[in-house]
Amino acid sequence: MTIQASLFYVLALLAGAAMALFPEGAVFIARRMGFALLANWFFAVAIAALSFLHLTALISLSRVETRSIALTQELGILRERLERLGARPEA
Amino acid sequence: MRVLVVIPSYNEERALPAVLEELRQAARALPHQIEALVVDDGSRDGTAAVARAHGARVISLCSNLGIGGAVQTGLRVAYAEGFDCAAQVDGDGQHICADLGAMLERLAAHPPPDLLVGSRFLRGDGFQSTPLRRAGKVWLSGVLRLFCGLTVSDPTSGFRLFGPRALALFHSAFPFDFPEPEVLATARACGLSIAEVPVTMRERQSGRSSIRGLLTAYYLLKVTAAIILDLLRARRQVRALETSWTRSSAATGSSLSSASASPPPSSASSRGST
Repeated sequence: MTIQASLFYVLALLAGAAMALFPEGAVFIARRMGFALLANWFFAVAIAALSFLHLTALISLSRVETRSIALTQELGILRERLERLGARPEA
Repeated sequence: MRVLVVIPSYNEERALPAVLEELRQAARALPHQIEALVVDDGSRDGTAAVARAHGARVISLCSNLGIGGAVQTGLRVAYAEGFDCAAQVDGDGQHICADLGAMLERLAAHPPPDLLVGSRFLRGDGFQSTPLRRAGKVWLSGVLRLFCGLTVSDPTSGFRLFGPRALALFHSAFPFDFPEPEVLATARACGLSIAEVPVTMRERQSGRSSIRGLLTAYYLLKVTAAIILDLLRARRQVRALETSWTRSSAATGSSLSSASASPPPSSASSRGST
């Protein structure tokens, strides 16, 4: 796990703990955002956060896949070049 | 003209000998320096050994990248080694290598197209594909006409010839999953000229297509979405192409003379010829 992902996880846990200890703040924010029930606000925020995480994971997965394809191609090309060099009779 | 014929192959040990023999005969009749490169896309059979035994250069990929990754590997080799153009010929024996002559002749015409597509529908002979596939091709042709203003009769044809500017663009960025229609959209959006040449195709000589059953519907949806996204991303690709083109022109000088009359593509450059 990267430092960034660990920090995000720790911050999410701290935010959860803060909400459990001081629910008034969460209720205030939920009301201001138009939610009648705190639970609804909590689920909406959780779904939004998970969607964001999913999107960032997809983006980074795509980048890793692109790099992996480039590396596989590079490996194949270099291996072929090496084989040709090996097959060439020494001068 | 130095031509690299890229043959992407996955488990094609049975069809490959005939393809390579046919290519050798076609190359003898052409006044060009033609080299065959089989890209073994992580095959589990003896594709690489068979290709070597028949005298082809072979690049073996350690895992299966799919048709796009395999073709791009060949284009990277063609670009790095200064080939004038690269042809894509399927390893399953669908394409008749003798048609390569007509394609190379068309590439030598003035002005030379950047990307040539072999179309089985222009002449109307040979294997014309199944009704379901033909319906899919009609759909993709419609999508390309609607979103790219490109009229092409065989958008999924894998028989292609990449000129110098197409090589400069596609060696670094090539669609992976179902690349043929996407390549046309990207080329068009980047200002490359595209032309079709009538060719004759056969039914595949061995194996079976990776696009079948429900995957056909997924293929059509995915490619349609990808074409629209490619148009949005095209501006970035044009910049990459301009950089790449400037670099290759400086490195190879007159070897790219067949396209030197054309300026690097820009948003204002002329559109495709089809």
